[in-house]
Amino acid sequence: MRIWQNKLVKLFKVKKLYIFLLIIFANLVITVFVYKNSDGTGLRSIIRTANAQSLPLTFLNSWAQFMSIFISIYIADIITDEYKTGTLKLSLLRPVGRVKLFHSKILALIIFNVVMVALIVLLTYVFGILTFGWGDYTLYNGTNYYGAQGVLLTVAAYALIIVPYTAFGMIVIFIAVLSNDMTTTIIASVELSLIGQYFNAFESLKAFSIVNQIYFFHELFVKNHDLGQAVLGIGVNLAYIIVFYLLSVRAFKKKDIVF
Amino acid sequence: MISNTLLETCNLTKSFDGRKIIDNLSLKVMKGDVYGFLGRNGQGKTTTIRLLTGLIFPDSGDVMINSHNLRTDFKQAISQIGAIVESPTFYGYLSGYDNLSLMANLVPDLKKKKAIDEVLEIVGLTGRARDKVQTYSLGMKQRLGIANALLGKPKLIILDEPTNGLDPQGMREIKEMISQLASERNITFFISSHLLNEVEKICNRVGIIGNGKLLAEGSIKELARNSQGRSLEEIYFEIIGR
Repeated sequence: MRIWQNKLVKLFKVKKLYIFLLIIFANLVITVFVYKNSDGTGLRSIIRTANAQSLPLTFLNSWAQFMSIFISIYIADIITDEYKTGTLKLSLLRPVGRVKLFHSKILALIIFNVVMVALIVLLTYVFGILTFGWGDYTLYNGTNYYGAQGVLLTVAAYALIIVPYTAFGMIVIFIAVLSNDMTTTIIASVELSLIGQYFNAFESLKAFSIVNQIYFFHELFVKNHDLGQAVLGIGVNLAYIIVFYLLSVRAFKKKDIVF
Repeated sequence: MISNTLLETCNLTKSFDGRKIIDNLSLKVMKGDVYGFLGRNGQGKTTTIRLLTGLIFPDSGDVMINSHNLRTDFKQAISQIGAIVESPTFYGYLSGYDNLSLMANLVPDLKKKKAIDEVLEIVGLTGRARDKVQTYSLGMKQRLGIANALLGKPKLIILDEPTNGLDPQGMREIKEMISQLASERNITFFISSHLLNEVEKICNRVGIIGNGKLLAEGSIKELARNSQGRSLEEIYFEIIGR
């Protein structure tokens, strides 16, 4: 079966991916503009070291707010919109079991996250080179990393963040399977990511919040270096993935396709 | 013994929100039939088709396709059929060819390019295959839907109101295509419709549904003979009690 090919074709053919990247690019431009024009204006930029090497890690935490919205829109598109427009029927009328088809949706989510993260890193590096030049080191958490060390740290941090993005996506998939409606899925998922931020105010709950995970999961490995916290982080993300996978697959298997 | 039955439902029942939409429906489609499934709007034709294609699940009863139970042997059963349920829907941002290519990826052991070229040729869409589906007319989408249904060489094609919304020329093309595929490629058709004239012209057997129940079933000739040679329209109105 070549289901994954279908997912790639559809991902690169839809305009959404390019619109998302345009939004990311606009954010880069605005942030760099603020950095370059902040003197005497009271504006503060998140950029501490103006070089391309440091730029991706500087932005990593802030992508969470964008990615949570992009993931919600993407999932709503591949599940609820396909359900409502009737294109889901095309696949269901083929000798592919429902569970396998559902797995292909999860695969699509993972491919989306990987592609988005890879393109964001690439875009940020290229934009950084054009704006500031490559630079001599990667500054992260007060430490300078030189050459390949800095690049590897960046790649590792971005690779790690795919895990909570996938966990968040699984929750959105569950909402999408239940709601059958694109707008409801997007609004409910964005609400979840907004409300989830309040959990961060409670120290004891923070580690279990998916919102906290999509912002800070990578830091457990590349910044804090606390094994206990890292194991807990992995456990929390896996728990979200497994629980919402089981709930969603059960609902999808029994779902009547009436559109 | 080799069965001559290609599609059979046994006491199929389906309710939505406590309301029985399909009520103990048992019908039989034989190999080589062009079976017309008649009924007024809202009588359960599309729901039946959704049950036949596994898109919705019956409360009770079974669907057998070429002796494979759709519930317990889904992959074998569904690989016997091609279908357009309700209206032909595709990814508008992709070309007709790309849409078929995506679907061909889901058919095991298919020589993709050859199969797609062949079905496009059959439905006469080769010249427009590279255009985006969003630029297609309804008639072209219907033909693309038939091309999609033909992928994987099904024994049975299920079409839900295939001429709905088409202009007279489009209706004629679809009817001719069905007759041609049935006679030349030996494909069995199950066609739902409320257009009696259309069914009378292209079908050899009919089933009539009313309030989710099968009110009558048989060959058009047989029904006419039992009704002193009356037309299908007259028979139909007598059966549904109008």
